[in-house]
Amino acid sequence: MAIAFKWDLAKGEDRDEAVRRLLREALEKGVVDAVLVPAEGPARTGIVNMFTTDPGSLDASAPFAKAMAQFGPQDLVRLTEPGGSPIRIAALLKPCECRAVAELAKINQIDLEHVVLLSPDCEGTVELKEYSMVADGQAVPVRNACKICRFHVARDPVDVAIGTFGVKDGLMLVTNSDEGQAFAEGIGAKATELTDARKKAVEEAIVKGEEAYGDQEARSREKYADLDTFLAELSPCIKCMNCQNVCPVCYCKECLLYTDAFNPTAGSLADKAKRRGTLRMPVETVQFHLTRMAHVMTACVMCGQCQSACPSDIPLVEMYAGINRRIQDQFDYEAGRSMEEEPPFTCFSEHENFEVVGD
Amino acid sequence: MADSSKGKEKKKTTDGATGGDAPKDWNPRIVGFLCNWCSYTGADLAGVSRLQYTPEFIPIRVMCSGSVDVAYILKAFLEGADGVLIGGCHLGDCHYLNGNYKARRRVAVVKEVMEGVGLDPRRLHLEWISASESGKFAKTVSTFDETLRQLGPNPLAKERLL
Repeated sequence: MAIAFKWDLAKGEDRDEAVRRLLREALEKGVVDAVLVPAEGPARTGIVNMFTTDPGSLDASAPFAKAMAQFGPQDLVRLTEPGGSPIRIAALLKPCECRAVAELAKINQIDLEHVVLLSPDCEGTVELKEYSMVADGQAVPVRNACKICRFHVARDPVDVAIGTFGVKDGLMLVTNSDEGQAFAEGIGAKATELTDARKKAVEEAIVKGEEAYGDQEARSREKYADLDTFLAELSPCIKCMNCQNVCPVCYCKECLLYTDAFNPTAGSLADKAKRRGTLRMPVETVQFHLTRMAHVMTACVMCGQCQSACPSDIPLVEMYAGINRRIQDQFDYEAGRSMEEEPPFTCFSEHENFEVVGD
Repeated sequence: MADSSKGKEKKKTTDGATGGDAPKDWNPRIVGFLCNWCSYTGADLAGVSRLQYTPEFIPIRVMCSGSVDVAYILKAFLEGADGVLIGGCHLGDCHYLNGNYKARRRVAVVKEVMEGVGLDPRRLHLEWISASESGKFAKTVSTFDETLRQLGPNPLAKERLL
């Protein structure tokens, strides 16, 4: 049951500063030991995550940054690794990153026991390399993934959603868990009612997102009905594996694609070249992308980091949009929706029927 | 196999290949991942019983249909297979209790991925074949062979500079 809290702006404060003050309070009052939050470097050319225990250093943080730092969920994997003495962390991440965190937590890659997830409403982010233009006040279009995002407002697994949609003054902290409630109470936020304006704004954001995604899904289905389109768009792939490295839900410690089966020897390459005439180098790019699609799509949160990291500008988001929801729907699953839902590849039911046998 | 034609009518050929483009001497090449305990033994029995099916069938014995990672299914297609058959024990008969349930989920995902990139999902076929069902094995392969003849050569395996 969601419980709302008020976080008013102090005089002369903007929303960024209000969240900074919120995080400072959390550290000073000992609600958490450390904070993971996006920050802007002094040159204002990019966004990275900062991990800090010092309330004074939070001046550099940028809670509502219009760009997404990379590796947020992966940072939490590292920070919650077993071994050290547990520290209580408040992690402020974008809604899509939080959904990736939920996916990783479900397969025991992140231990959420001492983590409070905070997530501000997100109006979309720009490419990291274009961030300096945003910092200069220019209007820059959001990333493709953000244009078709269905999750501008953080939902369930997030402990505290930092609401701005439909909130006129200040911020509305919407807590979804006991931990979130304890956090809000710990920093001294005052309980309030969820306003109708807020509910309506959230509803509208969801409807708009669903529409945008649905349109893209239909366009993608049509576009990739022909295999040649897919292969042509993959052709500039240099197999740098950036898409895999930045993917928040791709987690295997030992990746199958790095094994010998997918890294041919000189002999087998020569054989293959003899057989097929010509080989495109580097080899196995199509294998790499298709395997990644099949391996990751049940957990994919459509954050679009893969496409943002691609030096060849392969439209991965467009490719994934055609299959992402369809695959997850088969299992009545939605990546990051709930901690109770089991990841599709870790469970099965005797009575399910996908109509794939004998077809 | 009786009800397999029902689903086929709904789906259109997505990968653009048609049997008409195939060279005259072309025969569909099928890679079969057969589970050690049921389907491989069933295939063995089909051989002993001298049942006829396509000679272009390449069996690969695996310990369980649940151990076939999607990467190997896709690799088979990329290396020139026109179709991939996965044979497992009947549900409830898995030697490892539930491997075939997992295989079914995996195949459901791969079929969606195939459709999403424009490769006809009918090129991937999952069937439960027990050790005694040599007839079902031969019939499955033959019917699959027939389907693949209609679909034509696998466009993913075409010689092209990608």
